[in-house]
Amino acid sequence: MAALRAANTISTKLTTKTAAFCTRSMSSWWGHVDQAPKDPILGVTEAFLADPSPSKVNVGVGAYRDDDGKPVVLNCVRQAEARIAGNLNMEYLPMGGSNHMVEETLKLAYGENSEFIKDKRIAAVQALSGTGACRLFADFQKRYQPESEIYIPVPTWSNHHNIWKDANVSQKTYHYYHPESKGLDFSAMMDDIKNAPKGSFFLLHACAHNPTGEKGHFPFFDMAYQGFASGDPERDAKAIRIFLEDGHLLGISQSFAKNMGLYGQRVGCLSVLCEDEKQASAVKSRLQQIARPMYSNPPVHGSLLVSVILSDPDLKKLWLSEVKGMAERIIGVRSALRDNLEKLGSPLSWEHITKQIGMFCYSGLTPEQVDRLTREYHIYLTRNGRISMAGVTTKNVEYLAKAIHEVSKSS
Amino acid sequence: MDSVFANVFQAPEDPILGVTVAYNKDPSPVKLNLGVGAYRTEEGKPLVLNVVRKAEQKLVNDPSRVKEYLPILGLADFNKLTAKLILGADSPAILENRVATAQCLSGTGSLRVGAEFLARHYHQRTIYITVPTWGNHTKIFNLGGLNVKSYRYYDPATRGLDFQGLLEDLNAADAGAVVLFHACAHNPTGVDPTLEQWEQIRQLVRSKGLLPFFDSAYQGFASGNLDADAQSVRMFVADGGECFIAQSYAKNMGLYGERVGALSIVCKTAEIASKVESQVKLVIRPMYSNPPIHGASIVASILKDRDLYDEWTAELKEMADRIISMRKELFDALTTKESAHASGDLKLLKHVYMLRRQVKLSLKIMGALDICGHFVLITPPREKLGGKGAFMGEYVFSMVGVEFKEVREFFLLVDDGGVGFSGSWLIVLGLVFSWLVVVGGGSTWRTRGADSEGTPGDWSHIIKQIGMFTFTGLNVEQVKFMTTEYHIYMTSDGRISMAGLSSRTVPHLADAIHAATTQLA
Repeated sequence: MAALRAANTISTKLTTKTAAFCTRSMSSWWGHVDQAPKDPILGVTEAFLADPSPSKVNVGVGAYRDDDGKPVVLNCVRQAEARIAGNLNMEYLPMGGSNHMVEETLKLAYGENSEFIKDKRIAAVQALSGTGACRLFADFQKRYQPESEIYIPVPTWSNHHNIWKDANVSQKTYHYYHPESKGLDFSAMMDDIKNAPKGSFFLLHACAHNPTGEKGHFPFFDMAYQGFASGDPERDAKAIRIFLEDGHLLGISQSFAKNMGLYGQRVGCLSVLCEDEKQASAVKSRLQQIARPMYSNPPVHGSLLVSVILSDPDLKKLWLSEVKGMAERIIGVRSALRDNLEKLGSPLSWEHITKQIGMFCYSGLTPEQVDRLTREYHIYLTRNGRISMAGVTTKNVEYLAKAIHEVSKSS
Repeated sequence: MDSVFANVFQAPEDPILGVTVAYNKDPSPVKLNLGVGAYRTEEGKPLVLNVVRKAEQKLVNDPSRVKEYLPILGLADFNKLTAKLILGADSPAILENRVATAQCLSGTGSLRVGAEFLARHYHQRTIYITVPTWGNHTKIFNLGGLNVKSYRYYDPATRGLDFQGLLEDLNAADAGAVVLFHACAHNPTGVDPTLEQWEQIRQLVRSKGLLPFFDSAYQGFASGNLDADAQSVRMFVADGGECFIAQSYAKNMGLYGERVGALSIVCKTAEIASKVESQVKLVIRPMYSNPPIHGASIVASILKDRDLYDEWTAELKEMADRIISMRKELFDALTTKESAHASGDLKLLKHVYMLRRQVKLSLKIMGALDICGHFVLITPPREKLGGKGAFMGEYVFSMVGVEFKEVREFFLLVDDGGVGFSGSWLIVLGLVFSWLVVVGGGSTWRTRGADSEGTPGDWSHIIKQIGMFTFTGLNVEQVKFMTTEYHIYMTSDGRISMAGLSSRTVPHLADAIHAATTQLA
C-alpha cells in the first residue's frame, strides 16, 4: 500500500516536472504580434514627458492648462467632491448610468425647457466620456442600420476612425477643412452631403457650421467642447438647436472631460432623439444591452460630481463662470500667438488662429515642419499641425511663435 | 420625420440586473433581494469599507491631485500592484517583466478587452466556458469576436463538481482553444475544484496546448485569504506557461460602481509582453480611450500602504466570515428540528401579510376597485350602515394595510340601505374572519409539520459551496413560487447571493425553500 502511494507520488512529481518542461520549451502564442504604433495624440504626451529639456512645450493633447501650464481642477469640482466623499455608497449604477446625471446633461444639450425632454422622446445613457458615447452609438448603428455608412469629416479627431472601424461600420469621409483658406470648405461639404446615399450617417462637430436643409441623413453630433468655444454653453449648442428646430432626429455624444475638467473620470452621455416615448424606451434598452457586455455599468464617481454641480444653482453658476474663464484665456492666447507671429514679420497669414474656435488651432504646418519643431525646439504637437491652444501660455507664447516662424518662414 | 430606428424593439430586462428592478417595485415588507452579488451587512445595507473611506478622504484632501487623463493602459502603480496581488510579489513572471497589465472597467471590461485582443491576435477563435457560468460571459465573448462553446462543470445530482465530465470535455476541446476558468468562488455554483483537481486540470490544459483565461472576481472572498484564493492562477503561472487573467475589485474592495479591474496577459518573454501591451492599447482606445481614475487611485493607495493593506485584509476577512456564517445558519435552518421557526415578529408579519392577501382576494370578489395598490370600497355614508359593523370592517382592513374609503354619494343602482348593502357588509366581515381562522390555523399547521421533519433533501452543498453564491438546485418553477409567494428575489437558475442574507432573514428564506420544495417537488 505504501509502495503504491510512493509510486503514485513519484509519478505525479515526474508528470509535473515533465509538464513544466514541456511548457517551458513551448513557444509563445504571441510571437507573431507586432509592436503597435504609438497613438498619434496620446503618444505625443508620452514623448513630451520623456524629454528632459527645460524649455519644452506641450501643445499636443487637448487638456486645459492654466497660464502656468498646470492642469486645473475647477473649484466647483473640488467643492462637489468634498460634498460627496464619504457620504454615499459605491453600489453599481444601472446599465444606463445615473438617471439624475443624464437628466441634467440633456438639459445642457437640448435646452433647459426642451419639449423633447418633457415628451420623453430622448433615449439617453451615461457613457464613458465622448469616446464611450461614440462607441456605443457606432455599435448601435451597426446593429440596427447595418448597411448604413458613417461620413466622417476631414480632418477629424483621429480616434473617430478607429471607433467606427472597431464597430465594423463602413466609413467614408466628407470635405470639411479647406487647407488654402484654413477655414470651412462649405461648398465641397454641401456637395458631399447632397451626393451621399439617403440614410447616411454624418458625424458633425457640435460647435461647428451647420449645413442645414439636407434631410434623409442622420446627424450625429460629437459635442466635446460645449462652453469652451465661446465661453457660453448655450451659444455653443446653437448648431444642435437649429437642427432640432428644423425637425431633424439626431444623436449627440457629450463629454465633461474638458468643460468640467473631469478628463480621467470618463463621464459623458449618449443621447438619441426618437419619434416618441415608446421608441425612446426601446432604443435606450438596446443601448444598455450594448453597454452590458462592454463594461456592465458606467463609473459612478464622475457622474456624481456632474449631478451635484448641475443641480445646485450656486455650483452651476460657479461652473459657468469657470468655463467662461477657461474659454477667455484661450481666446486671449490665440490673439497673443497671432500678434507675435505677425510682429516677427511672418510672410504667411495667421488670421486663422483667431478665426478658428475652441481648444485647437489647425496651424497649417506640414509634418516635416512639425518634426523640426519637436527636434529643434522641443515643442510637442500632433503631426497634422494641430496645436492645442490650452497648452499655450503668456509665458511660452513668444517662444512658440519664434519657433513656428523659424520652421515656416521659408515656405 | 421618419426615424431611422423605427425597427428597434424594447429589449428584455437583463436576467441578473433585472432582478433588482423587480425587487424595487415590490411593496412587500418582507421582500428579500438575493439577486445581484453585492455584499450586504447584517442589517442588509451596502457597505463601503472603512479603509476605502480613509483612502478616498486622503485623495480628496490632497490639493496636488489632478483629474487628468490616465494613460490608455491606466494607472501604472495600480497595474503593478494588481498583478502582484494575483500572482504574488515574488512571481517569476513579474520579476522577469513578462506580464502585460491594463487597467480596465472591472471584471466585465477586462474580459471584453481580453476577448477583443484574442479575436484579433490568437490563432483560435473558440473559448470554452463552464456550464453554468455568469450570465454575462457569453455575450461578452460573442461581442468580443469569439465563438463560445461549453464544458461540463456542475453536477446537479451531487451539487458539486462534475470532474470527470470536465476532464473529458477539455480533452476533446478544439486544439489550442481558450478555456475560461473561475479562479475561485465559481459564479453561480460556488463549486471550486480542489488543489489536486486544479493540478490535473493544469496538466491537461498544458498538454493539449489550451490557453487558460482566468476570471478572478472574488479573490479574498472565497476563503478570506487573498493568497489562498489565488492558488489556482499561481499554479498555472508557475509552470512558465502563458495565460490571461481578468481581475475585479468590485466585491473584495466594495468598489462596485467605480468599475475597477485589470487584464493581465502573462507571456513567455518580456519582449513579447511589451508588444502585446502595445496592441492592447489599440483595443482600448476606440472603446473608451482610457480608464476612470477614481477607483484605481483608491486601490493603489490602499495596496501600497502597509497599514491600509492590513486593514483591508481584515475587513475582507470579516465579509468572507459573515458569508460563511450565513451558509451555516441557512443549512441549520433547513435541516434541524427547530427549522422553519421564523422569529417572533417576522412570523407575525408573515401571517399578517398572508391575511392581507386573502382579504384582497375576497375584496376583489366583492367588486372593490384596485387603485394604485390600495383597495377602495365605495360604500354609502357611514350613517346608513350598521355603525358597529362598519367600524369593525374598517379596523380589520386597516390592520392588514388595506385602505378603506367611504364616499358620500353611492352611485350603484342599489336600494338605499336595506338588504342591499348592510347585508353585503356582513358577508364581507364573515369572509374576513373565516380567512383569518383558515390562514392562521393552516400556517401554524404547516409550520408544525416542518418542525419535526426538516426540509427534505440534502442541503450540505450550502456549506460546501464557496464564495458569495449558493446554487440552491431549485428549478424555475420553484424560484418563481418563492418570488410570488414569499417575495424572495433571485436569478431564475436558483442562484442566491449569501451576501444578501442576515440572521434575521435566514428563517424566512428557509421557510420559502421548504415550501417550494415540498409543494412543488
